[in-house]
Amino acid sequence: MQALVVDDSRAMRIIIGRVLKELGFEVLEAGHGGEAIERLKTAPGVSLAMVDWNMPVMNGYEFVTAVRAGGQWPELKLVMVTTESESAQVMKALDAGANEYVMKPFTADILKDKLAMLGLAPEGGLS
Amino acid sequence: MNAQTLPDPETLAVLVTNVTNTMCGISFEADRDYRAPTAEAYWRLATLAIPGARSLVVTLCSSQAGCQALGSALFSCPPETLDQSMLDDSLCELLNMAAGQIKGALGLDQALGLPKIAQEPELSTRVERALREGVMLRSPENHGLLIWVSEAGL
Repeated sequence: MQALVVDDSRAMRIIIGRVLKELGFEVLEAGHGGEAIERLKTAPGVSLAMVDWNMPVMNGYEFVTAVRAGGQWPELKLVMVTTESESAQVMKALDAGANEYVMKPFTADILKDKLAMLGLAPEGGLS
Repeated sequence: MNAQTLPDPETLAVLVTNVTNTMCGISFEADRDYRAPTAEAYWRLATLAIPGARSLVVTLCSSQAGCQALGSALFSCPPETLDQSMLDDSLCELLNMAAGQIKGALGLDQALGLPKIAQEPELSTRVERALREGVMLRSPENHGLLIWVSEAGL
């Protein structure tokens, strides 16, 4: 299983990537939405993308919209990772095609629980 | 705190600790005794704008030791292995999350801007105001984190 972590923060890519590796994912990284689209084109095995909302060049919302509009990756699970905590922002992301969302700050267990809801991690996490 | 006033020092300490305790295992309390600003306190300074009907700017700065402690905890690596970009990234990402907490506490329906490390000439201006009007937060390990929430344009 391959997962793509899309975040302009190296620290966040490492933190999220560490949890995903623990769950058995091979982790790819991108610093913004545009770079993530390019990664998806060359890595057809990616089944999950963890996407930050606030990024330069192409933000997470624009990335989700572009991925779903293109129709090239219908099986790709998209999880927004965001500080945008208002329900309106969450609804906007889900309406655009995101499958789940995680609010920053988060713990590893919260991430695992969200992935379990998508069938990508064991129920109750690994810890 | 009502939604129209800016957060008081104790509220800021709680909001910042929500972030730092979850992500780094470090908590902060407002340091009411903090008086004299020193160059040590603003080794790195990051800003984040929240543009909109009520535009705000959130500023966060810390000493080299403070940045290293936060960066080390966030990256889960020894402080001596952190390079400059990692220290900058840590401060910016913690500011991003703290700004999200502040925005939520104020009930603002406005998107966060991107965090950035301040460079001259903005740095000198921001440092001067932050040292005068900011709130010093202090961890049990005595690391200082200076935070300043201001109406944009001020």
